[in-house]
Amino acid sequence: MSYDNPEILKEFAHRFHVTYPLLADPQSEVIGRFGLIDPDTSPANLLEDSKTGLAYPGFFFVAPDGTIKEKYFGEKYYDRFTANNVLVKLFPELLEPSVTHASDAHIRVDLKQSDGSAVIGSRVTFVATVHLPQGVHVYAPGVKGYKPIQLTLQTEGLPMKDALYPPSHPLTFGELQETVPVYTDTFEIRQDVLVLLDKGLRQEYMKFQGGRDSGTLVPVRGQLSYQACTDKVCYPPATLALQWMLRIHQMDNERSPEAIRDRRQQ
Amino acid sequence: MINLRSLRKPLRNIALCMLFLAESGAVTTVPGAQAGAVTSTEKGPPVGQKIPAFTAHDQFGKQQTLASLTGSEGLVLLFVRSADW
Repeated sequence: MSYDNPEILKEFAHRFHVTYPLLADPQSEVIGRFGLIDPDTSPANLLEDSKTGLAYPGFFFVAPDGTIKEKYFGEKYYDRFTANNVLVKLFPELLEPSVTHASDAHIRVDLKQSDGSAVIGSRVTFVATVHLPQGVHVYAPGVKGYKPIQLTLQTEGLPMKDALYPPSHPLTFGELQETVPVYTDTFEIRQDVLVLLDKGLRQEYMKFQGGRDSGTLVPVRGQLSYQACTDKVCYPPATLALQWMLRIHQMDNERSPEAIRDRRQQ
Repeated sequence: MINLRSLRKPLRNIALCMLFLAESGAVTTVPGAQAGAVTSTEKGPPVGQKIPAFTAHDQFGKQQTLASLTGSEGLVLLFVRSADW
């Protein structure tokens, strides 16, 4: 659903071969009733001839009885969950087996991501699947006296959201019979990244008009710091370098024909 | 990335719908979402509440309602800013 008139949606659907319903809310009446009108009407947030009443972009998943089961909305209009991002949150098993991995003496990490390519203004999930040998544990966030495992991404121009760590489990070990939160076996750490780029790069991308470019392949580098232990010995804290690749595309800037465009409402 | 070829057919259909959804604003019906809500912000009605009733014309000129759009497994409703941007 969007604030466009039905003619614009018809033309858009034709251009992109869309056959499912695109809903027109040209007075932003439904958008308003959902409480989704973006109040930011500053020039930077609108096209020159835009109406007001733009919706925040986001997803609702609704059960057959009308109950909202899930929703996905970013903080700003340029923080859009990709469809794949939402899908892998709902169905984690859909993440493609990774093609890259990193390892050292005590840990092996498979690197996965929700999207291999994304346009500016979308949110992509990067995943580190950690495999530990039998009998080895690492410490979970919140542990006292040990170094917790931590995923850090160096994403210049790509703001990060909070990393999502799985639930840990308590482990009691050693002569002191300490109980600490740990991870064992296989677990995943997820990190959402907003594909925004800095202002200069963004302007470069905005110069393209119509159609899509072949994109720019950008490395997304990170590191995993951790301390691995068995019930007998703790190894020195270690850091493992990680790298994902993301192809970043320009936005689709093609407008509808001039004659059917909505004009700013005075 | 999602490997569509590896999915069971009904799931593959959802995935394909969702990929198209990424391009535009749209609604489509899909099997019900799993439990374990992830809510990013407080925008719009909250998880657990009933979705407000609505009526709107689609690109084919057909009048759609919440009921006409909801399939046996539910509905995905996606709000976007504009198809003309």
